[in-house]
Amino acid sequence: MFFLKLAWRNIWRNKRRTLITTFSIVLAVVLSSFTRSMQLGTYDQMIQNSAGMYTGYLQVHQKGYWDKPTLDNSFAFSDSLLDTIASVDHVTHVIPRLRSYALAAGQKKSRAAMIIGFDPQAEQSLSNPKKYLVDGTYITTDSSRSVLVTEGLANYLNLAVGDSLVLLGQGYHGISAADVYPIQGIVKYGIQEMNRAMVFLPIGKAQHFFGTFGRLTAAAITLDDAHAVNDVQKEIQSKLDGPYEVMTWRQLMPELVQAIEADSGSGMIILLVLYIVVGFGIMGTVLMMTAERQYELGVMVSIGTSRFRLGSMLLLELILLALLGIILGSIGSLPLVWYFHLNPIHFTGEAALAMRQYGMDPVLPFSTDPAIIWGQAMIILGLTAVVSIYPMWHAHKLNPIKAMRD
Amino acid sequence: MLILKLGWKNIWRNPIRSGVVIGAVLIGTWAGIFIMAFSTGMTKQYIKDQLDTYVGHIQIHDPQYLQENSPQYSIAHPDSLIHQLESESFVTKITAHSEVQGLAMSSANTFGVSITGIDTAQEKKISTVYTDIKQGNYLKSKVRNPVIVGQELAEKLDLRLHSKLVLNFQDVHNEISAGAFRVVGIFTTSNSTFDEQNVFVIKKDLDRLLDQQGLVDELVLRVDNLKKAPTYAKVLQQKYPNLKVQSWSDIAPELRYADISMDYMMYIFMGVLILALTLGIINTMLMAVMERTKELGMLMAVGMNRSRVFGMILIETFYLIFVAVPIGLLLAWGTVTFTAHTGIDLSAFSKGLAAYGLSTMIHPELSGIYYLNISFMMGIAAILAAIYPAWKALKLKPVEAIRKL
Repeated sequence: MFFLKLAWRNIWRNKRRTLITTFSIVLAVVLSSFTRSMQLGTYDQMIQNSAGMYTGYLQVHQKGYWDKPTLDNSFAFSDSLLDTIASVDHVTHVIPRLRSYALAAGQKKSRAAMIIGFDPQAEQSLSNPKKYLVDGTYITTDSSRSVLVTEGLANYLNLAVGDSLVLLGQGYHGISAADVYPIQGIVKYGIQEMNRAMVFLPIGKAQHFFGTFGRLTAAAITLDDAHAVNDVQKEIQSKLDGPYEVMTWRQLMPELVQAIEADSGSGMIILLVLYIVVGFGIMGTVLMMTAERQYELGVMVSIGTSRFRLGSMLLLELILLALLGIILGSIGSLPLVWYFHLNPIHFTGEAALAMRQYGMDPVLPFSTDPAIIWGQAMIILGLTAVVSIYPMWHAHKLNPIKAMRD
Repeated sequence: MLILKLGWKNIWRNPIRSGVVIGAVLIGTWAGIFIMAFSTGMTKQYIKDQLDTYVGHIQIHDPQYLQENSPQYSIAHPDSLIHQLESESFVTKITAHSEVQGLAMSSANTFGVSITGIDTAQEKKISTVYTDIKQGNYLKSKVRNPVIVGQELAEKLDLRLHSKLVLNFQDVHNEISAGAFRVVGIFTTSNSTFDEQNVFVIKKDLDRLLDQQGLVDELVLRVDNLKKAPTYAKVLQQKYPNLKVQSWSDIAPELRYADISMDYMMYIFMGVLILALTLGIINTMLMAVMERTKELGMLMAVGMNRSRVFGMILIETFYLIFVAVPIGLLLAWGTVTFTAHTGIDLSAFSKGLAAYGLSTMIHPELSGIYYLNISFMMGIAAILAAIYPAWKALKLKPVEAIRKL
């Protein structure tokens, strides 16, 4: 207790020294939080670009659909099912979809296309064909007989707005499906695979076409908090009784998860280097702090303070400084990452062009998850603990006569 | 001159302090450069792997083919064109494809695919798909109408080795044509979309079904330097205005994005690192000035003028940094050169990498301009780091300084 008091007083005895040491710790927290927020922000952007563009954060299917995605594995969708899902916390939208393949044909040519039965209202919160419309108009009513096609398909089939599109395929339990639809609009997605061959058909018409009345292949779910995805999955799973599978984007897009994991490895190496550098920064100030107090420490040893207690006192001082530093550093990091979250770094020139082409905003976003800052603060605290070995060792080795003579 | 000598002696008077500053700058420089080289090497490897699998460096088509995607819009007089291209100094390898969009039908399901007719001997020189065959073999003409498919497609269509696969498409006269093929191999590349949407057959088989032998819809080129491919593509485009010449950066913008964003991230990280170093040095030097309050006060009291004190602290910081940076650079260059030669094997702890399509063997590399940029940035940081503590020393009042303690 006495040494705690002494340590506390020592800290405030020389404010400038305290300030400099604390600053080096604050700096360590801020810089590592900045770097980590940038790294994780990029992953959030990747997830947002995939999950938020088409897949959704969660999808509900008939059990077995994901292994064998055919219409025969579709499920009956009712308002009560919709309400059950929508009532779960964090769920913002439930987007019904009926997806299958059919041959799309124009006058001369044909190509296999992905047919998406969609709800024109609900879909605006996910793949949002309205936003990517480059010609024609959006379908506003579910009862419309018209379709939207992607630019890639329209070009290939040589079709424009107002032309007829023939769809030919296989429906529920193998019945044959064929019909003609007028094209009302053309959409163009940045991601080439999405732009290649897709046809958007109002869901009622799609169910009629495939003979899957009242059935869906998937209900995609958007969330207001991406981090709640596992809890939401569990809750939906427990609320739905019946042969359903509820899958998160992690299960739906394992490649994205792998991409992030692969990149995260090199991200950790980068952080490690940063820790070494800021660690040296802290080490430098602590070293100087100890050297500056040679005389004082020498006096204490010679009047009979045990070296262990002296070491403990120095350790306590450093821990107090470290706590002060990480608290100030965490507080200081918050506005910094928020600033870069709201005003992300913009790519310019060719980089911006490449990103737009890829369907991404040309910015480097920052994550504002407070857990990042908290985690970095803890790591820096650990780092300071490692550095504090030095003053303790110094107290142990100190030669009082030499120390006082200097 | 005296100041230079005094500063030099001062930094070795307290070797631990100097050691910490030199150590920080040295490790910062070394690790920063090494990480840049490592990341550059990793991105390059990734791009190279992807290009070697399915894009190639440069692709040449008839402009109408790209719009209509029909095999009849083929390249006119392909043999003489290939001959001319082979004489270009930068072109290392060429392969010719016939290609058509069609439906792949098995007894279980139907799926839209891109069907590419290849010459196996030529193709192996450009595309590494033959190394990605996980079941069965690469195309061989021993079997009648062989086809290789991706794992993803095989699952969708419930295909196994030796399964029958019917390919259905329109020939060069826009007539419906179909052929029964036999699955001889199943490949798994790093790109599952590619595996889902592409099947490969022997060019002669496809040309027969398309009703035009020797049909060339696509030429894929490999050049001596993939970074220069966009420039080479422009050169070729001017020579052959009737054809459409595209480099990989036009065909696969996502790879260009990976390339460019990598550069950005690295410079930002280097900025953060140098900021950390600079402030670390400032802090240490400030503490050093404080520790030496008595000594500096004494120097002033015996008549050393302020500009000399300022100069001395400045010189001391410079010494520390200019000892550390060159050693750091040299060490970094040595490490990068060494690991570029031997490669760094990440296979032990990176299952994810292989699955993602990244080679587990990384060869770090960094062009000279980066070393120059980093030295320049470190130089500026050194000046900034030196000024503040020296200015603080200037502010000391000699009488108070000596009285302390």
